[in-house]
Amino acid sequence: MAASEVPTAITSWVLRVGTAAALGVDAVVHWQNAPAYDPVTGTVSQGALFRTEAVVAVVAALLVLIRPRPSSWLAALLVAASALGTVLLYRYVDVGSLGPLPDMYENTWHVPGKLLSAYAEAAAVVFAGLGLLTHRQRPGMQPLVAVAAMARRRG
Amino acid sequence: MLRRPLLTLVMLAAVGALAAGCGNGSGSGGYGSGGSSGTSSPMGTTPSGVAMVTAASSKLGMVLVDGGGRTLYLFEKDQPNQSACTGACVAAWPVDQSSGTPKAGGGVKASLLGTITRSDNTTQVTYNHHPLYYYAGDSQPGQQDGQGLNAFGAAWFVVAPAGGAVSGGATATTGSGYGG
Repeated sequence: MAASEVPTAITSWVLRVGTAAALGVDAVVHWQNAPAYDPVTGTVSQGALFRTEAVVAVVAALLVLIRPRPSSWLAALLVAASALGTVLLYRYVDVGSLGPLPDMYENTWHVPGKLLSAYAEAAAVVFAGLGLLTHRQRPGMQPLVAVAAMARRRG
Repeated sequence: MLRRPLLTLVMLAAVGALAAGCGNGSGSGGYGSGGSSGTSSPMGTTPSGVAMVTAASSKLGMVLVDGGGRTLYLFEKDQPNQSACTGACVAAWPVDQSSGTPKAGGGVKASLLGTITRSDNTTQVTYNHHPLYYYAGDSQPGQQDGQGLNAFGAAWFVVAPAGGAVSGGATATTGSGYGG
């Protein structure tokens, strides 16, 4: 492991705070907008899904702040990426109701915080992705290092 | 050693994107730009706060507008004389408020005009039992950018003077119990 691959304390904290802040914005927007989406129901309401997203985002944010291990960064990345993917999917594709999920198609950004939340989710994807890459040098993470090394050789 | 500056640049770009989102969010329909209470356009009311509803010609045919020419919409999720739009929904779709019995302009049937009292005790104008709204994305009188949008669980349409929704170029009545 080269010393230059170990993230500095500053880099680590920037990534952790950035990820947590972005996930925090995502959580606040979803929590505040949830009541307006309670009438949108399937087996589960869209409001309930928003509250769940808010709680999961807060947990992921706390994990990268308190316990910045690869699993925490991966959790934050998955939470942010899934949220971003969902908002983009339902913004541009009318998929209707899916299983227990309500029909959440909404072909407009003119909803309070929706665009901000999408930007925050994108930022969280970037921060958490970088966090996962820079904190990969932990026991059991050697395969990731090997993959990166192979990519560098090919590049 | 080249990786560190690259990493810094990527992080700065991410921070910039987040900041851009914050700036954008403070604009139209942005986070914190609205509240749970409805806001009506000052253009659509008389000085005493009484709403005016009139008919105007548009690319979709004759549609309902307020006294200032701003397009009015109905929400398909609403029940007759009952609004299903609250909270963030009202921020995106401000209600057409009136402090008294709304006035009927040209082309509008006065008998179809009415009001309901919302949960926050504000008075919302109705037409043929449809609660009426503005769209926050319409910045100018005559704009109809909210037409056909799906938001908050159902579609939004401009309203024909006959009392039904205008779907595309044709008038379509919505739901049951809205007749009359």
